Amino acid sequence: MSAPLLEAEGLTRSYLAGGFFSRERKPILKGVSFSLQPGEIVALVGESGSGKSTLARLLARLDMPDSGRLRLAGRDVLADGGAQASLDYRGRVQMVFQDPFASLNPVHTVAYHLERPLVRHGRVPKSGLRTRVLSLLESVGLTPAEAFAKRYPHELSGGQRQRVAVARALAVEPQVIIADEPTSMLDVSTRKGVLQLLRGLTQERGIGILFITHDLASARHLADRILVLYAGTVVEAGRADEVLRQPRHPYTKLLLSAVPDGDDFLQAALPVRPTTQAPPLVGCPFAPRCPVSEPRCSTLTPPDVLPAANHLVRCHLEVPKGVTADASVSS
Amino acid sequence: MRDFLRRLSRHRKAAVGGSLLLFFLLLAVVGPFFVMDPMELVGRPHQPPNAAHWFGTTGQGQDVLAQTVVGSRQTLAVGFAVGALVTLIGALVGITAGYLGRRVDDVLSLTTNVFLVIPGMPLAIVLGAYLPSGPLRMVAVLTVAGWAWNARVFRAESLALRGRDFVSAAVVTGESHSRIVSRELLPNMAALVGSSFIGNTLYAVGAQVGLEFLGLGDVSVVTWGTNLYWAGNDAALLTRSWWIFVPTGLCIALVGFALTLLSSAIDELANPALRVHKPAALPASTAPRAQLEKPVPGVLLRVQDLCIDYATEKGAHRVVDAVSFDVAPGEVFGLAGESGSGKSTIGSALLGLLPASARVSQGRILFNGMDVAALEGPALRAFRWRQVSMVFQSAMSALNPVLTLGEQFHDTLAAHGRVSRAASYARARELLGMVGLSPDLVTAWPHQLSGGMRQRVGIALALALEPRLVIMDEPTTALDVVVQKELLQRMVELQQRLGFAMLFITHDLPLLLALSDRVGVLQGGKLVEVDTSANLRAGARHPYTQLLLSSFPHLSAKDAAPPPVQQAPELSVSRPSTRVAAIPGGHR
Amino acid sequence: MGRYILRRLGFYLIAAWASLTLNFVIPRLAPGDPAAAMFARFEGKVAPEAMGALKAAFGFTDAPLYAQYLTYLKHLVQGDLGMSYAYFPARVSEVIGTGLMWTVGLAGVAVIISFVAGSFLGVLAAWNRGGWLDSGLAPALAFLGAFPYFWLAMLALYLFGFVLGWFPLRHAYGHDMEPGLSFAFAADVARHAVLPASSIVVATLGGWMLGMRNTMVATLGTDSIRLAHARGLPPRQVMLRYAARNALLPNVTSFGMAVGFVLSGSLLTEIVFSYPGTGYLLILAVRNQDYPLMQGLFLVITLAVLAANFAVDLLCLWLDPRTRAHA
Repeated sequence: MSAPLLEAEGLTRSYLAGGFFSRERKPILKGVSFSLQPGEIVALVGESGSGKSTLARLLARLDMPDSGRLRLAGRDVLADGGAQASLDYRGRVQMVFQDPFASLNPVHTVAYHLERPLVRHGRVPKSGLRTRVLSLLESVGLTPAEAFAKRYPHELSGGQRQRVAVARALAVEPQVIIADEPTSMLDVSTRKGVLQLLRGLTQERGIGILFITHDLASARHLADRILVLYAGTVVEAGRADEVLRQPRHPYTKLLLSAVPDGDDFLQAALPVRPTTQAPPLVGCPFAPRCPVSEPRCSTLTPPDVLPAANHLVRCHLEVPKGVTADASVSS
Repeated sequence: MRDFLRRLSRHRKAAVGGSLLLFFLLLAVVGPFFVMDPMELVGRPHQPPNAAHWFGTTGQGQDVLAQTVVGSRQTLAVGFAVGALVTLIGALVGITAGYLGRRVDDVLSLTTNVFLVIPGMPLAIVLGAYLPSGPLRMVAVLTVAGWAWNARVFRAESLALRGRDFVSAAVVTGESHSRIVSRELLPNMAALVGSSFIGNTLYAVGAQVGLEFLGLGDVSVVTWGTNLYWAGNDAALLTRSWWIFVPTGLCIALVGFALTLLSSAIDELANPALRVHKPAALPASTAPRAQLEKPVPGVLLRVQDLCIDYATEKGAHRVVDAVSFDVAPGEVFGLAGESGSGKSTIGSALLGLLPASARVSQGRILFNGMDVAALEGPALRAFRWRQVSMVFQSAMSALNPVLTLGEQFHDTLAAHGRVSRAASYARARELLGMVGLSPDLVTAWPHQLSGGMRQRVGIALALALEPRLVIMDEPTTALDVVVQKELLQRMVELQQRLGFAMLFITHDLPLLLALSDRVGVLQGGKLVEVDTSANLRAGARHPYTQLLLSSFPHLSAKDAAPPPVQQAPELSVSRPSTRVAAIPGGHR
Repeated sequence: MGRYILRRLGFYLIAAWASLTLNFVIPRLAPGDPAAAMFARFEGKVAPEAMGALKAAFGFTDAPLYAQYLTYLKHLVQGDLGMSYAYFPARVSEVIGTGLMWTVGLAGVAVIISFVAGSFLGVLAAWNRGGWLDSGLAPALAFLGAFPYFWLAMLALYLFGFVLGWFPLRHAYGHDMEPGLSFAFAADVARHAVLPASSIVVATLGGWMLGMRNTMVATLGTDSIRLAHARGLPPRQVMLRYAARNALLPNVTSFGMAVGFVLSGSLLTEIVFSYPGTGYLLILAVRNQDYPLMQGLFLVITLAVLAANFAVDLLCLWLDPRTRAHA
């Protein structure tokens, strides 16, 4: 395997909770590691509150982790905090946001949104600006480009807006795109188009995409590999078809059984214990809901286990079945 | 922006306010050249209005008309100067605090809030008493006493805007802070800057006049405030010389009124929800108004040729177009459609909940033979919930935040018959248990529950009166899949146990097929296909249904092959923004 | 909840400290040494040898600034606001004492009446949107609100006092009355308060009505109201218990903010009616350049407004279960 494009190692982030007097910290991410290869799509799957959007913000450098390392093409990007370094990072790692109704500024035209990254990163001479904007619009399927360039965001449909947002991310010719639930706010009939657009980018330009979603089915559809995030921890990771065909972590099994797919989906019972307890800070975060949990689950943090090549599970029950991985091996 | 100014010029309030203000500006600029010297003693004191002095004379014998006209000049000049200064300082402090956040925000907001609670007039008086006299003193004093409110408003606005994704997107693009503030935030605050400036000018004119009336202005200069100061000093009331103080007061009020109109016009244009809709644009309903019809056996709900129109600025817009379907007693009927398909509008119409700007223009909704669209007043209220109840998508916001759950159950039960509070609470506990919640939550407030729990409360509430039909309007869309499935299984179980019919509305066709007996597919307000779930699964006939079905990726390996390169047609075409504003709700 | 109250209390202490400090700093930073000018005007009234003591009493000594500040704070803690020039040799605290009572009584009653009535009108206007209340009364009240308070007071005094003679012309009670807890005295006070109070109410009613109308319109558009209607609740219950109850919350908060503003306006109203409140004292202080009285008034009025704000915070706490929970 070649050197990964983007590599995160033990990223943690917590937020201050409570009022002025209590300086309690609420952990959101508890040591997340993963890597992304050129031309690869990695899906990050999790429910609301799992920390997936926080991770996206860390990777887009909209926020700083409390600890951990972030490497882009082998270079540590967090150590070098200068403004130029940051601009350089933004020229190579771009983001597509969840809500295209919010991620485009209502007062600017489509052309303005695409010109800014081109100008800011000096990607084209001023004379070539117009041509480049039009070709960007064409590359995301917004034709006639001339007409779309002049429009304002409120004159576009949701799917069209998200295409503009993708075009904006493409403008700087990035190596990595972080796509934070890019289709969840779109109408179903337009979702597929946006997903296919993203897939095309990896094939044609070798861009690595981190696809953040709560929808296992689209992850299955799009991604090469899957990371399952629960309460700030990666509980299972591996090749998409393998993880979804043979899920090993009880949480992944739970998620899979809840996907509305097939006519008998309501008949099958959910493999979960009902509880309102919040994920505990000690032991396995899933233990209170886990139908197969054992006493050690609520006291000992489970190790990372590799039951098969490139398949990682963080569960006590998998220990007998596979090699216990070093904490640093994560993909 | 240009569009905004154009709409402003067409707005009635803005037109009246603008012309009034323009008149006074003109008066202030050129008026003084056409009247007498306001300080000169031109006649006997306390003369009522007459041919020589149209507005009469003051207690010293000066011309009131001249004083009123000349007084406008400095009053308005100081007013606008302070208005601009206060807006500038407020915006600067507020945006800095809101955008930078953290410690800077802590310090700035504390300062702002302190100045906000210190009463302005006494502070201005103390400040004014110590500063040397002159118009600059007035500007300084009023600015110090008045900047805080504005800073607070701008802080709140920039805080809200900073959280928007387009600011994050600009950061990811690599834009500098100064550019984000000047090109991303400020253009979005244009309306706020405008209405703030007007509001601050209003404050400045009023406070200025008040201070001058106290004698804290330069009493040797003619302004509206000193006019009133002299009116008080020269015993205008005692001598019953109303003409000395009435013209100046009227002018102040007219300027103030003009500014109020302008500011409210800007608010209304920036926030369309405040505008009054005129449903007059809708065509008269052609639906026959038969109150009762013989119930058809085996049909609980019959929607017949239903058309619903929304009033928009561009005339009536049809959202539901000739939709017909039946729901049998105890049946689960699904309505599938994307945003703008009219699915939620149909749900609202079934309960007579259409907004004022919408109307059933054709067709009928027959519930057990009763025409729902013709129901009004007490009959409609008795029908609602007792016969048909509803679970909303946003249980988060649908429960009243200031009442406990028990109170909301009690209100519901008490609206449909005499019931004691104790009996209501007992029933509420039973219902909460039925949906899998702890009965003790009866004393909880809505904000203490998670999203999934609130949605369960919504279901419990919907079953309170054992209705024959429950409408589920995207009840699980905002929930995680695991919570969604738990909830759906509970719903199905209750439905089978209690035997009510269910109309389930969602954009999620695979979900509907698993849940419903029959499914109708809506596209652009038209019902394009109705069939049993089994038939639709086996082979949908309408191309739109086929497209919807193929849009959902499956977990099974079949369709996980590399997708075809050609793009799916973009079906939801650009909608005019006016319509989006006019139609509430709906899932994007 | 207790923590929330403590936090608000802390904030008001900071605000009180800030206003005390402003009060100390302003005269000392002002150009042209106004304090010296004031003492110069005392010269005729007191013996030259007493001047030193007088200056010391006001806190203007040759001591370093921080020492002056400490003396100033010490005096304040003891409730000593210095000596009035206009009422020399009365102490400022005595002069203000009775005045404050009248102001709080008049402005308090007027503000509460105006807020309650205005909010109720706003609820009705939003409920019957586009009706006569909304399209007729609201603009009319907005127009009245554009007049300065004291001008409306002048007009009211002119029409109902001088021309029609329905109400007394000045002061808080007749000069032939003996202040006391008698019914006759109370009735006389009420009769004297009608004109000043109603001119304040008329001037502020439109603002409260518009504010309430706008939040109410926003509340009426929420799903919580749709659900209430769908449940078949009686319209009056939906209007009051579901819509108005929630729409009231932001308006109560802005009520706290506006107390200072309304009080400022009512001070001027007092002047028109020669009402013996703090406003009347204020104009005396301004005309006589009685700085100690002026500053004392500023301080006392500020503290009263802070107290009112704190009361409003407690009211919000009582009205909104969410604040109670987060606190």
